[in-house]
Amino acid sequence: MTKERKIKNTTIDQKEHDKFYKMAEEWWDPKGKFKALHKFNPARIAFIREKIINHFKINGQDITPFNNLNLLDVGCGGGLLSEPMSRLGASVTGIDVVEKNIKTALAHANEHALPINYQVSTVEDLAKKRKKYDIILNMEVIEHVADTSLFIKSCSHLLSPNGIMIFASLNRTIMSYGLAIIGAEYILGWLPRGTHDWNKFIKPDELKILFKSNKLTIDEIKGVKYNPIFDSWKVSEDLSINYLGSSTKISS
Amino acid sequence: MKENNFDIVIVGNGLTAQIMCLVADHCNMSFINIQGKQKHSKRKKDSRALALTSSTINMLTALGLEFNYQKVTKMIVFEGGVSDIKIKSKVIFDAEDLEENIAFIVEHSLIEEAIRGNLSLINKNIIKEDVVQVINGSTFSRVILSSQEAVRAKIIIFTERLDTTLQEFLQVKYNTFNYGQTAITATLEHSKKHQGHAYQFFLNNGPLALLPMEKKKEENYTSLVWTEKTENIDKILSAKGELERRLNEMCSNYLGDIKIFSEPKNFPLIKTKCKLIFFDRNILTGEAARSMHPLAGQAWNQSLRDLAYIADGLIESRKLGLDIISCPSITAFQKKRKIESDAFVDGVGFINDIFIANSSVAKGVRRNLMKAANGNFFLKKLILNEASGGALDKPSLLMEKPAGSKII
Repeated sequence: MTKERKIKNTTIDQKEHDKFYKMAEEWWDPKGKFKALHKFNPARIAFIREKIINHFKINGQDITPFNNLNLLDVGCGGGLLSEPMSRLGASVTGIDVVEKNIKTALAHANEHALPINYQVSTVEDLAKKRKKYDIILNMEVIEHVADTSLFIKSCSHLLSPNGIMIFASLNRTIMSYGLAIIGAEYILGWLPRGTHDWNKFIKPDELKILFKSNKLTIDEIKGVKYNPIFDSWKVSEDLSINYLGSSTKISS
Repeated sequence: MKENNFDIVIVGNGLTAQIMCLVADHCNMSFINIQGKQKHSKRKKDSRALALTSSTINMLTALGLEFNYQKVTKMIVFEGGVSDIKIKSKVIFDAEDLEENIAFIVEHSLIEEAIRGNLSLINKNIIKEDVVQVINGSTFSRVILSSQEAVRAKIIIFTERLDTTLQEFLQVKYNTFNYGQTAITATLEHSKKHQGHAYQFFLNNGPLALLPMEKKKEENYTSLVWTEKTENIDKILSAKGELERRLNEMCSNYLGDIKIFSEPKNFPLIKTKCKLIFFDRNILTGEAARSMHPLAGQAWNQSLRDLAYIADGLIESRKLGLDIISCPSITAFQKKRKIESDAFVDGVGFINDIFIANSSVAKGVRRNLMKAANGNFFLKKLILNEASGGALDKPSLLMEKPAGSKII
């Protein structure tokens, strides 16, 4: 995918693409533009780990518990999730529409000798190739795509019948406007201004409908809470801003 | 020259460094202990006693250590109460009434023996060189030794105060405050059985603590920690007979005839705090991070609390597939851990100040506080919890659980 790519019937939002293109070199700087994501990363990985271990009934004591599982990291960016998943034993494919992101991710993975298959691609392109994955990570991507319906439909096609999709997004509430947009982008400067478009945030109930129409069911959904004193994130019951959850296929 | 890679480099030669080796082993991490050039001559058996909290006992048990200790069944805190100084106020902590462990007294050397019995591989993991430089990298740090050789590690844990060269190189700044007091420690042999009772006397020049010890299966040994004004120390220690005479004069009501069993030691009391305890790939723990007044006997408990956080971080790194320095228990070091440990160091210093202050306001505050505490079951429990470095969310090892057990 190049910066100029613009086609119809796609999940690519050109404005979003250009935004991330400008930040691509900073993915692995914990004090850079993705600082907030670095802080948030351990909490979401712990959630992902728990869901995968419970879903596939894996022994959590193994050093590489995700051995023999193939995982698709959608919108992988610089590989902040792909790398830990690879270390945990998964066979990882990371896709992103921003070519510069993939270059950053590849260079970092090589430095750490991690065998990750990074590609410039979209879920709809992969779905056309009839690929199937045991695990799909769909973390903080839905709110950046052009066509959410096509996006979820493609993800559903890519998920193995017994697979699990783990997702995260932002709720469209007054709280999220105040904290995730005004607070995080304009006051605290955790994220570059314009990183998120509040109108593209999606309510969990809307997501449920979207999932259901694509033969997916939401098994669990949780909120994520920030502790400003200790500067850390924890999974909580409050869905008003960030939320994450797991989804499986509805058995026919 | 080939440089060996380790998960952890542990710098130091003391008990904290040894426990850190045990923690690294417990977490299945590769490690090397850099002990320093000057410090590896055979040390004398250390007869000092440590007062351990329940959390520390939990941690040492989880690490597989077994040793004898003396349980404190009752702790009596007096203002005054020695020689013919009137008891102005007192608080009694009774373990049975409070349904809570107060403290466990154990000899330093017994813990060292237990570690040696538990970590036979330690000798394979020792370098007797000094650290002269640390070069931080994106995936590991290089630790340059005095021999000019280097080792690589994902994280470097310092357990002893950094020497001035390393302080300068790593830009570590210690804030220090001299209490103007010196602590005298010794083991006392006495005719009266201690019955597991510990005493703390707050005197005009500093606190005096008597901690019951289990020695030779008898109850006739006590560990002394006596804080005095530094200017008086030479006189007190001028002769063994003089110290014995003073102690008999002050404490024979509690211990009967007192003899000094081990050579007394003394050390000046300084409060030290370090601005940064986690930076790049370096963590400062124990004496590398702080020193505090010994009145609550909590310095080593605080050191082990540091290591319990690190242990959780090591397992988090393995379970989450993250670089060690990105793990929450490690990043918490500069925030949560620093806040709780600084508050504790200052809190203990404040108690010392309040009890040596001679103003009528200070006298009123301490007497009313002691009176209120003595009559209130819940306040006593709270004080006991805080005095042992209580925390809202304890790391796993302090709860006798395997490190990192909060993560599935």
